[in-house]
Amino acid sequence: MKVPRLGVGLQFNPELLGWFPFFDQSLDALEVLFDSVMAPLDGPGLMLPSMTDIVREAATRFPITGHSNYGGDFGFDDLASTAAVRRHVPLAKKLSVPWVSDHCFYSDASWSDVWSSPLQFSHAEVERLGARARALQSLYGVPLAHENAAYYRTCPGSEMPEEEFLARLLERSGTYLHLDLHNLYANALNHHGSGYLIARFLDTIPLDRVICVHMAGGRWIDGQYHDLHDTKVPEAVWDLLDDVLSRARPGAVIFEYETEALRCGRETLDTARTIEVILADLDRGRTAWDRAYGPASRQTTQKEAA
Amino acid sequence: MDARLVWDTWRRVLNDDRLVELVTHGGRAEAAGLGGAATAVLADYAQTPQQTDTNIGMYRRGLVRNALGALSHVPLSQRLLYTSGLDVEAVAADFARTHGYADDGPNFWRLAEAFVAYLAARHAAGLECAPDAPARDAEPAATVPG
Repeated sequence: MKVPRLGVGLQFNPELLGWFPFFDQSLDALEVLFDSVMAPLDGPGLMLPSMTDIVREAATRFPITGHSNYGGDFGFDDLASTAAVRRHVPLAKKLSVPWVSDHCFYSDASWSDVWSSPLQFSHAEVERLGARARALQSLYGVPLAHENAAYYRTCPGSEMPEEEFLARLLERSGTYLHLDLHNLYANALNHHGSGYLIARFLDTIPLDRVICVHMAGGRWIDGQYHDLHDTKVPEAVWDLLDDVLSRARPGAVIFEYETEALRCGRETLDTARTIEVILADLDRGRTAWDRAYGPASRQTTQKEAA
Repeated sequence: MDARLVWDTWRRVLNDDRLVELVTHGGRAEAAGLGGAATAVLADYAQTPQQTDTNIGMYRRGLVRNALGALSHVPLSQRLLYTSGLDVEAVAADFARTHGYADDGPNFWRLAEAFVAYLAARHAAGLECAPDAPARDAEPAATVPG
């Protein structure tokens, strides 16, 4: 399957609608959260009426990529009953996305339990989920990537490190990886005592299967580090980006934010400064991309060069 | 340890205050009376009480967010709630509890129907604040949960 080289983009999170000037930006890609634009699963239609026009407008301006938190890719329900098959597959086709990604969590017709339920890193689940992922990718008709999760504890019954599980899963499924560098950073902080190592993770996963990279921020609360997407990208995560871009060839680097009031230390920024922080992160991301792949290697700079 | 069994047991924990207490405050897993394999799952979660508590907190906050998001599909009821003077988050949290901490996921119509039924029952029971209470200057949650 072909993965286009897009460049640096932003997640189109409805939390940002109404205050962030998406359409004024020179983005190489816009990552649409399918969960946020799809019609309810227990009603008619494909897309929320309130989202139809804005998504159509976005698609005229930027290459759209597909992303999800709650597709049910890795649940236990029949695959045909999931949001992934009933809503995300037709959305992916309607928007002609080059790839789709979802998280390595369990979920069924449920949403709130997703974040507490990382996959069981076991041999049996490599087989079961590998077959499920292969079937789902076949329905999409474009690459399906699995995002490494940030989690507070591993699933009972896990038998191997996360990175080994992911490598085995991809071997079985023929699917791809969506590498969230802030999740990796968060796990290293929260699980350093149990031997979690970023270097080992990156040396073990098949980097040639990484088709998208996520960048985000987060913070400590009560002794745990949280992937809250409410700060600028931490310095250590920028270092990881340089490392990964030098060893992999992803289709895009996507930045994620979830609040109009980002935190900066103990300060809560107003909307104007939040926008400044986001734009500064995007600019730094473009610089990192261009340093790795050259100045005319992004969707927008290719057009300018032409 | 079978992954499906772990998943089913975890979802029982998420919906049951008694099991929550057990896995977050050092209770004996056997006391739950769930049987051998499920007991082992409970014991595993109980070994990491802080992380398990964080996960349960995320789940229950997610239910509140989703309930308020689902209400956007029934805007008249949504408006009534947001101008009622009630603490909207607290109402949604109480709804989640009385709804058995059930997670309807992307079945927003079903969730909205249950939330409206809860609000109607609450109204009938006279639990809303006085009619002349000042309206809270609250903003609706995001259109779609998540």
